[in-house]
Amino acid sequence: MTQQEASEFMVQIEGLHHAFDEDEPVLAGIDLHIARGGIRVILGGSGSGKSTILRLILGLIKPQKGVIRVDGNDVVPMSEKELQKVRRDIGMVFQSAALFDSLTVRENVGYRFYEEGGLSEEEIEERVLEKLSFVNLEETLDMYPAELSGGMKKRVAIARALATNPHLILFDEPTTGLDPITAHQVTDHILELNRRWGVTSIVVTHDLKYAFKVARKLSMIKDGKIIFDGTKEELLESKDSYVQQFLE
Amino acid sequence: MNSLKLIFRLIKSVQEFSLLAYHGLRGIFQRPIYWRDTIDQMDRFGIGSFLIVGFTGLFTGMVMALQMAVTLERFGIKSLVGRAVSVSIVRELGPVLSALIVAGRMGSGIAAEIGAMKVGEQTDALRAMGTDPVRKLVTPRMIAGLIMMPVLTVFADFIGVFGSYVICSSVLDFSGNLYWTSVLESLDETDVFPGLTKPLFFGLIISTVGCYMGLGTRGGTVGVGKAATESVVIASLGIILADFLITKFYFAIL
Repeated sequence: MTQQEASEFMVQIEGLHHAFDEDEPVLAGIDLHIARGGIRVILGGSGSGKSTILRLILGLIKPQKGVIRVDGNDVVPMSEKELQKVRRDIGMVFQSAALFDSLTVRENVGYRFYEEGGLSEEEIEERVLEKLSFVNLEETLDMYPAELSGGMKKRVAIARALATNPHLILFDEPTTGLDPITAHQVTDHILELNRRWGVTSIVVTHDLKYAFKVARKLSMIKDGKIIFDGTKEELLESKDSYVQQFLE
Repeated sequence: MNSLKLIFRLIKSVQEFSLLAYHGLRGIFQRPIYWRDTIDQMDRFGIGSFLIVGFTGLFTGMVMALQMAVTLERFGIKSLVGRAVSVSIVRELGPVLSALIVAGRMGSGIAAEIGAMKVGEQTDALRAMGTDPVRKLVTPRMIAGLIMMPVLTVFADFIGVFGSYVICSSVLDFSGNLYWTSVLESLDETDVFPGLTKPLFFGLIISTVGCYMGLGTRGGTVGVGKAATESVVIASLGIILADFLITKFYFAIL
């Protein structure tokens, strides 16, 4: 791959294999190229391995085989210390929001600033409020996650993922368990992120309606393999029986 | 084939546990140290356990005095009750019973808390935000165990010996002077030193087992409950085994 091609893509995945259990591979040779500034939706049924791809991109788990380049850096051979630098440029919104129960919203969103030090309490508050205003939740600053609704937790998780102005944000089932109105708000946030700051987003979901709303390009995964890669229109025209089944 | 798999799994678990203990302990000597989390854990481990440890110590001392009095009276040496009780408490009962009580309270608490964080993806979120979960979650709990378990044991020892005094003076008609003199005369460094080093290991066992079980949690809320229960069982067995090994070691060198 040439340097020009490499800079064109935020994430490049080649020949990715992964298995939690030796007998049951989760990913069996995945190739994905995700363009800078795009929103890519990875569609698939439960247990298809789509969330595993996000964990592999973040380096939370190591693949058995394959190459994963994030912003040109091959993350597979990286040590935990090296990965920490790469992760600073990646935001992750977990399926369960994964806010820290023992910390307030202020401490959750400003977690990295508190960890890294060097900023005054006022500077951290200013940055935290800026991110919270993006998701319209400034009033939750001193609340604990237990006091928030499911939708609010997801939105705070988005604010937390945005804290360090990452170039890439990974969303794991961002609308699962949310009512349609809150799901709509979360969708708007993802689109706005892309529109306003050109953030590259990878969204993993099984919700087709939602996928069509946010995606520029979609990839569909089945049995650990990509069975479709293309635009919404191309997906609708696909003759693949599984795709057809999914569309129904 | 299945038993072979089980042996491999057991070896793997021991290896993972040892690595976690190593990384957790190494974290004590390297930056960053999460002081806020450490103090919070010390509060939960130590201050939160004072009451139950004191209660256990008090009644153990009282029961020991009653039992010893009956046995020693047969040999006409009832006056040695204080000596017998204090040595038993400082050497064995204080450290072991306190540790078992704390294992029940903290072992399950640590495993359940970290287990809930694991199934709620919070440990992954820590890593995603550049924090090593071992440094953030395990090391503070290890420090808390290392510092607070000896403190709790000394407290239990004092309360236990006091409980024995209460029985000796009120039921067995001992003079207070006689009791305390016999206690002080009987205790020397061969009792106190092992009695103070044991809780260091016990505290470490409780924290590390709790963290290991918590970080290995799988299967949602059911998994959290299982991790909490197993943590208490394994920590308790570990304490009893470590007690034997440390006692054997001290008998060999002292």
